[in-house]
Amino acid sequence: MKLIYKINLFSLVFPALMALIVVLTGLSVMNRVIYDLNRKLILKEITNLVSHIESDHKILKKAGVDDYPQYINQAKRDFLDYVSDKHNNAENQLIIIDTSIDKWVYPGSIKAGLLPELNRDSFNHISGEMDLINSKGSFYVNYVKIPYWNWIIVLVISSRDLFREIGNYLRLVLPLSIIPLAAGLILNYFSLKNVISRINDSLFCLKEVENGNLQTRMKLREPRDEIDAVQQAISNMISSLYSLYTELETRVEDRTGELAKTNALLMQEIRAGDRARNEISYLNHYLKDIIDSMPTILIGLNRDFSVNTWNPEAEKKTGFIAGKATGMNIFNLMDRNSELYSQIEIKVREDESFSDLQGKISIGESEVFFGEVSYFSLQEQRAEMGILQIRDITEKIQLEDLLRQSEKMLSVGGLAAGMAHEINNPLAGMMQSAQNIKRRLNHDIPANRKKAEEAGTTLNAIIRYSELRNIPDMIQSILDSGKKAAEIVDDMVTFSQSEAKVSSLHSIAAILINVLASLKRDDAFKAEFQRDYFTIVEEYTPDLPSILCNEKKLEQAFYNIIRNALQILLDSKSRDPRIYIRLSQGINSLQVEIEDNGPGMNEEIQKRIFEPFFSTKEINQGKGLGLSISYYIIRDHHGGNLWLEKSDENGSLFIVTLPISTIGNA
Amino acid sequence: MDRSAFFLLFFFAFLFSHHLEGEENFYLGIAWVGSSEMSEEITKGTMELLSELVPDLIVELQSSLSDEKSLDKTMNKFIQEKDAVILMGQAGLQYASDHQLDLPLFLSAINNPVQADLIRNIERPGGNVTGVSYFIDYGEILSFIKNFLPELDSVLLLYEKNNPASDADLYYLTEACRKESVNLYSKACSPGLNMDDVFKLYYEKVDAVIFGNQNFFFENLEDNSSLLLSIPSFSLDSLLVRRGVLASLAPDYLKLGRLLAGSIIGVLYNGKKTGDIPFGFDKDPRIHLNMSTAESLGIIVPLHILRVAEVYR
Repeated sequence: MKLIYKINLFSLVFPALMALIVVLTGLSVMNRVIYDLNRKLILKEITNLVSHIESDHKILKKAGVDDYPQYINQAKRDFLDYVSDKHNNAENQLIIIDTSIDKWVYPGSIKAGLLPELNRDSFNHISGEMDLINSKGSFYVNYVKIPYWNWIIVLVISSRDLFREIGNYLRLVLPLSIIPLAAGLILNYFSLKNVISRINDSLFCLKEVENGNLQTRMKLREPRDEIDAVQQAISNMISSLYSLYTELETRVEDRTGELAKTNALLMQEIRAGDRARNEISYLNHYLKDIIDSMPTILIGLNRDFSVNTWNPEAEKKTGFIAGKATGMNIFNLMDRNSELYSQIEIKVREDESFSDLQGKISIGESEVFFGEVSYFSLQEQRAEMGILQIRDITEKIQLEDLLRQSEKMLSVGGLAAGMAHEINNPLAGMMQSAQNIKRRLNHDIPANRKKAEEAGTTLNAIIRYSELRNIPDMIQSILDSGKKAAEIVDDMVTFSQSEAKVSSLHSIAAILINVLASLKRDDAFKAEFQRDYFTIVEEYTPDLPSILCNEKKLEQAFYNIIRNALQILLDSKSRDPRIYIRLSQGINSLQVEIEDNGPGMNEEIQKRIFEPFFSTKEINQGKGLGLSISYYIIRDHHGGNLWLEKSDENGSLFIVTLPISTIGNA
Repeated sequence: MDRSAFFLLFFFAFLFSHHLEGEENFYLGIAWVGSSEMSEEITKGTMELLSELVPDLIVELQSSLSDEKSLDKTMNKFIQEKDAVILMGQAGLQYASDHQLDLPLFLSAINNPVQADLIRNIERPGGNVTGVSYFIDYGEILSFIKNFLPELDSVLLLYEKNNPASDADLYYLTEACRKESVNLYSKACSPGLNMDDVFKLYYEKVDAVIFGNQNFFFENLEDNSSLLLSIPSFSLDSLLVRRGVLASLAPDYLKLGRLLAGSIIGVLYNGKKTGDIPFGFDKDPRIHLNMSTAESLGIIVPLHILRVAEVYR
């Protein structure tokens, strides 16, 4: 369909049809509205008339004269006067029928000729409405019966009057609607014909452009309306397009060159970025490698004290894998009862760096160990707060203790040996003198008797006197004490001997067997061994090499250690006292383990166990030299080592190592 | 019973207000001599409006005083203590005529004050006096009677002898009858007069009887007296209609009381001069009708009268 027809169809015919439909619908609705309105008006009017009658009836009733004909007639006259004044100009017509005589009392006979014939039998109900068609026309009737006055009030209106307004509207609206419609159609046709012709010109020109002909042009005139302006704009646009096209070709060539340069620069930047990423990746791996390789526990903390880094040493030490520990609160991972916990918590919570805080600590599922703890707060404000470093220094502490012990033993041993040399000579003199005193009181020696006679007495008298004064006992006491002191001094001399007087190769197992045999003869344990109170478990690795040693000294050393164990078991009255003696070969050494199942020793005793003169026994019950002598014999005389490996409620374990000499092996 | 309750309430309100209010309140005294339903009704209307609009006004009521001496004594006290006084009834009117008062005086339950020579101008009484009157124009009364008796030719006025208010009735009815060309007969009544004789004397001589507005008739007329059924009778007080009088055109006493309260507020609270406030009348009096009497007399009451009347049987 051509554009002109479409425009005519959509701009005129359709609106005209719609307007016609709207007008007809409106008239139909209006028809119904006016009909209803008129009916309501009639109903309202008849209601007013009835209420007027009822009002007077109530007054009469109140006065008690509502059944008095004089008063009723007076009220009827009043009402008829009222309606004749008021109802003359109304569209509808009032009819009042007196039912007692079946005659109209209103209106007069002149008007009655135009109205339908109605009588009392026309109305069946007390009130109602009806449409009435008869020879005089079509009517709408509304009525109410007034029984106390024997009246029927009727309002009648002809249908013509009821719809008179609608006819007026139709006569006015229809011509007004059709005339402008026809005029509009004609005007539109001629004006659109011109418009469409110019649009077609424009369309032809645009199609030429579409086909690539940018040099096409259309005939233009002075702009007088919008289409002229559009044609002018299209023409300008085609000119501009042609200019732009030529300019664009030039620019494209320039831009292509620039883009090539930019691409080259971009490639360089991409390569630089790749290098930087590789470097960052390398550094990340390097940093992770450092952290993973660190022999200390490294724990990274966030600001909410949750763990973000957990290196392999931490996994190894705590038994927690990184996946499990990451995200947990560090304070929940640490043993709150450990020595360092409170100090670490205070400082870490304040994000205060510290280093080398030493003490016992437990983290995760680890045993309590000596740790050296440092905390490094990160400089920049971020989610990560700091690094907690924990170094296990248990071995270091033990070594330091051992070193201190060795130094102390060395100095004490030196002191004791010095004293022994100094005491030895006077002691020998004292012992010699005491021995001489004893010999001078011997009656069998003639020289003694001769000297007594020279002194003017007898030797018997002197002996008698000395006996009365207990002098021989005193001398014997000096000798006994001196002997003991000599033995002590002899032991103390052991400390000063830096090396054993090695005589030959000996089997350590044989030495241990000898020691056990000696102990079984010892009065202190003889009875217990006889009744099998002790259980000695000997586990000797067969075919061990002999070592170059002082057999007697080593026997003394082992004797002291095992005797010490037996004494502890005896004192503790253990129910199943056992001693394990194990002999095995280590790297260039033989290792002897002596373990008991006694009550163990406390930490203080453990520290001083090898000190000379240190004893847990009462005074006079022990010299406190046994283990210290063993210590010096093994370390200083044989180049070996002796230490207390452990001591707790399950017992104590002493370990002795003795170097295997090349001679011995040969 | 209602009236007793009203006065009891009033008395307590007076006591409370007397003790609770401060020196700045206004004091009003009310007094009348003898028992008077009209005075009580007017006082009721006055107090209703005063208690609503000026609840701080302190009112002392001296009702039903025994005689004029008691009134003098009460007034001497009121003059000392009150800011304004209401005097009711003829005794009050007489007191006002005899004394020149400095404090505002409000008269009520009185007939036309001009006729009593108390004032010269209803609209501007002058002096320190104003008030309300039950007076109704007798021209209106004659027109009212013609609704029942369109051929009215003569009327008989019965009034109380020696009552100053009777003079007004006689004076104004005479004037009205002259204007309407109605013959007027009058008869002074006093205790001891046989009313039957009077009615017999004037039977078929007059078309209607009018009772003057004096308490005398209320006290002396018997209920539904047979004489009232012989000649159509009219009164200026609705109370007589209940006794059997055919119809009355009477002012609404509560309305008069409210008019009086308005005057008091204008003077005490709005600063108006007492003498500048017009005397109040009920310009739309009410109709009371005894239908039994009408039926007995064979009178057809016009419908427009029935529509507005208070009907008794």
